[in-house]
Amino acid sequence: MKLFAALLITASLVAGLIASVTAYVPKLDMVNAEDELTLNAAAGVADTQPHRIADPVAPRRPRVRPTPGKDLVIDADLLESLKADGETRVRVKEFSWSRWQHLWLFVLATIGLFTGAMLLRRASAKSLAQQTKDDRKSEAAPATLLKTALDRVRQLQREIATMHDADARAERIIHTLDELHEQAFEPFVAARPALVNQYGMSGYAQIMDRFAAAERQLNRAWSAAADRVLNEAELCIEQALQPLEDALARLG
Amino acid sequence: MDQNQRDRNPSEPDRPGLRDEERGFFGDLFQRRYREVTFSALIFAILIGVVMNAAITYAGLKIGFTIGGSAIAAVLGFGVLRGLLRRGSILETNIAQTVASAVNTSNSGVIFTVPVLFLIGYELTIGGRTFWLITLACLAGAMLGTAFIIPLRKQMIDIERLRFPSPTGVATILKSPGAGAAKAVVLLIGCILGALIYLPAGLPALTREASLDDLDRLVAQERISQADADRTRAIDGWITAQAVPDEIVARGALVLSLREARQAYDTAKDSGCDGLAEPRARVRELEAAVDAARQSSALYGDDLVAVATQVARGQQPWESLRDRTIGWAQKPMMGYADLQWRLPHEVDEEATASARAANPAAPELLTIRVDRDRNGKPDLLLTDDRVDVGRWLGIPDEYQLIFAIAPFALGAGYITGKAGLYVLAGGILAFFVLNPLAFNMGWMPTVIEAHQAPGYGFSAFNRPLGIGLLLGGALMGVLFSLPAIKEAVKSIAVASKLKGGGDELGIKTLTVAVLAAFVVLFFADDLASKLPINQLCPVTHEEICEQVEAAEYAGYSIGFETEQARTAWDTEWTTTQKDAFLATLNAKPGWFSGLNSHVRAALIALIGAIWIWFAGIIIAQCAGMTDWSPISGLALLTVVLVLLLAGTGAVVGAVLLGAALCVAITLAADMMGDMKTGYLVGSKPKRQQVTELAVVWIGPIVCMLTLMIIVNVNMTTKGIPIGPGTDTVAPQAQALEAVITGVQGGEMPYMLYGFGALLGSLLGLGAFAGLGVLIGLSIYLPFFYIATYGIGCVINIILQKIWGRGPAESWGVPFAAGLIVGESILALVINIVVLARG
Repeated sequence: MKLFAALLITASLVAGLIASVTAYVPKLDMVNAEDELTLNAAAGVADTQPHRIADPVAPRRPRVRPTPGKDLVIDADLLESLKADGETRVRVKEFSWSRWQHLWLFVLATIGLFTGAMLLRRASAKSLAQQTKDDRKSEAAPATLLKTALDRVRQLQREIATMHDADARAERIIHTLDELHEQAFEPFVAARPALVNQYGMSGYAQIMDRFAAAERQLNRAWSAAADRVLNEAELCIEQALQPLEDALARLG
Repeated sequence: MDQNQRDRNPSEPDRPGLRDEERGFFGDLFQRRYREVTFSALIFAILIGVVMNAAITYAGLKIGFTIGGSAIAAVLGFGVLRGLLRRGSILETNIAQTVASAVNTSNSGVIFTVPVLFLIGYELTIGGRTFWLITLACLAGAMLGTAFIIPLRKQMIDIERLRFPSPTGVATILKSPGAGAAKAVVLLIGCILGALIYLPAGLPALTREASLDDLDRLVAQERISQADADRTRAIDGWITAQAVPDEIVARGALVLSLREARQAYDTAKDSGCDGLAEPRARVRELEAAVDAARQSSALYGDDLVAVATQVARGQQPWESLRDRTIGWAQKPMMGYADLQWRLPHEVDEEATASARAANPAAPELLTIRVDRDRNGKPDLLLTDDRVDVGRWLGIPDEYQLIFAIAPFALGAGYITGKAGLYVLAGGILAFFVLNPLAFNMGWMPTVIEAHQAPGYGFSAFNRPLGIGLLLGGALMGVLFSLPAIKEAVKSIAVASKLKGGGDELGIKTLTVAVLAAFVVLFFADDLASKLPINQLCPVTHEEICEQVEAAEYAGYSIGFETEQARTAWDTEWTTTQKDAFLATLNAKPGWFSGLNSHVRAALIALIGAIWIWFAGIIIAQCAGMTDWSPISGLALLTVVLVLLLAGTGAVVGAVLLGAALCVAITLAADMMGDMKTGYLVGSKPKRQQVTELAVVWIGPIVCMLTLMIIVNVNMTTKGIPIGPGTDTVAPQAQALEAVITGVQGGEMPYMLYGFGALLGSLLGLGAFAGLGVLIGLSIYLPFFYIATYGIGCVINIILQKIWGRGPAESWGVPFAAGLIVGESILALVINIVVLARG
């Protein structure tokens, strides 16, 4: 289902964009002289000497008369001469739904995009619900990850309280926080879709607000430890505990 | 000291255990427990920010894009604060990079917009009313951009967890002292490699006078034109003979007289409206004479003939003619193009036969595929800054596969990782599906050749569709994020009630900053609307005089040369005549033309402020997800919006608001990036927000003054303020000029923006609300940067497959950050040298 939805979205987007390209390039058959349309780009090709040495570029069609330039109003004479030159389309300044040849394709594309988006949302919600169910008791569950992180931070706090060598304390803080970041925080952040699905955007925002407050304090602790300002590092570790507990509590 | 001991002494000001919220505002800002906001960091950052701003302003006017300053400031901050002063901390360096980039960043906002006034023919002088109005608007924009982003920080960084590749790279640099020696080495290797790769791409910006022996080789290598070589030999001939041809001396005398006459006219104008007729007539007479004289010696510029005349008169030494700034051929320093890697020789048999039928001695002609400039040589496969892989592989010309030689794009792509594939997909969609299809289906004008199809498609439909997709995607992103924004604002509001005000600047500060900025914007727009839209009097057809009171008609201010002319306009001119006069200026009435001018200015300022907020979100989202910022596209939309509201003749007002918006969104993106860096190193957001708000006003002033200095130098040496004919061609401003004339001429494909927006919002309905932003951004940007960026994304994905996510991130990100920094620092150094040498 997900694959089908993704393909439908891709195809619809491509179709929508392709259809849009022709919005200002009506077919000459659909243009009336009474519309008084204005050219927004030169029409036709202009060189009566297609193989001049200075410009030996082969034109895509034989060049027969001077190019009607931009800003010219398409009157009956110009329309006739363009048609006579084999032109089929011109780029004009004015837009009209009735002159847009690929309107139908654009409408189809929007329907396809909407349908694809709905299918994708449904499929994503279903698979996320299943994943949440599977994860609930596993180590990868967001709540488990946060609980592990909280325990590890508390443990770190106890460990450094017993260490006397400043460098060793700093290294322990840096090492533990690096590990914590990789093993708990990154997987927790990666669980965003599941969290949004489970708690809604508002609930997710409340959880992440507290989680981010804790993570920022721990990032500060890391920096302070790297700068060997250990009292700051210890204070930040302490200040990270409450928001981590809040986030865990909000996870239920 | 253990934790219990700390908690027993709560009154000690900088006691380690004191919590931040227990200090006063300044006590918290300048807390000494752990060095963060310090005077040395602030002074250093402002100085480096000012230097970067001036250098990048000049470079941006030359090449059309700017470089970010955060990474450079981070590295320099390390060097100065930690290396020289031996006391900087990670967070202090972070504050330094925050402030330096805030001072620097506003330049792209100014140089993408303000020069358009010069291109259109407006005059700006330092201290003049329009100069200060625009500067004021830029200051308001700077305040708005910085203030609006405050409540969005929590939403985008804490909640949405946007990646922000470059700021992540900056954080990696800042953290390198604690990350271990091995990672610091990886970062350094990245830096060196980034600089080495960029070196041959950046060096050619530095030029020196070519020697006569080099001329033929430089022409053969397409480094200079044959005309440059001919002119240089002619100048050398004058120096050798110690004589300048009479014809040149005569023309030079006219040029010098014209410069004097213009100065006399300006002086007369400053002292009032009377007595201008004579100096004006003199200027016109000399202009006509110079134009006529120019026809017979077009090879030589006005600067050269003026200097040659002074030399011939003995006022300057002969050697002063050997100067690349007046016409002596310039030899660029070594670049990739010197390798002379060219496309294979491919003869166009049909064209050659045709040519030889007319002239049997005609040379062999190459196909257009390998020789687009028709100079008889295969084109370069490798130019100084890009490599054309598509033509080398023989891909049809309507497709474009060019890679920019840009280590920063590679690094940013790597740090973005998988999400960057959407950006790459958008670029492929535009340049490998849309443009070739439109070309082959005959939806492009038949004057467009295959190799012109990517460029035509880019301007005709990629750009409007891409910007539309961006807008639609961003709108959907905002709608889906409303609960998160609400929670973020709620959280800030709750925190601001705490003692000390919490970690962020509160809603009150935001409100005050926004109101103040709105008021400034209103006054700037109101005063700008009083500026006459015409430069020539409708009655006398002579230059208008500021001392004569302007009339208001159809929402426009009309200036006059004399009081009599003003009276004639009021009493004798019919509505038809007045409308016809407005039509000559392409000044159609705007949607708000019927309103009182103050009400109109207030409404436009209000809409402008709301638009700035929305554009700030778009730009922060784009920068957060991909590292790219669609500044020029949004500036373009702003100008269009104001022209529609105020009328197509209100160019000054439109540019004024465009400049304000540009400055606002560049600062919004910069501040959000700095906040991300701050988050990763654990900085307190409030300290960054306060320091940034305290310095944002410096950037626009530095940039505007630099711009005016460049304009004055150009006027003195070239007689042109900016644009073609000068070194500072201002490419982005030229693009904006085309948009303004396009709006005035009714050429804007408004519906394409709308269709793009619809598609973008529908895309965002799916699982990922920001998808429209990613796709739109890449459709709107030139593909060669996207292609290089895509390589970075793909390398990241491959390395994650091989090594796993952890090692690919922990070792790859420092390396990628090094690539970004290496290029940025080298580019800055080159810019400074270019600025210093002129």
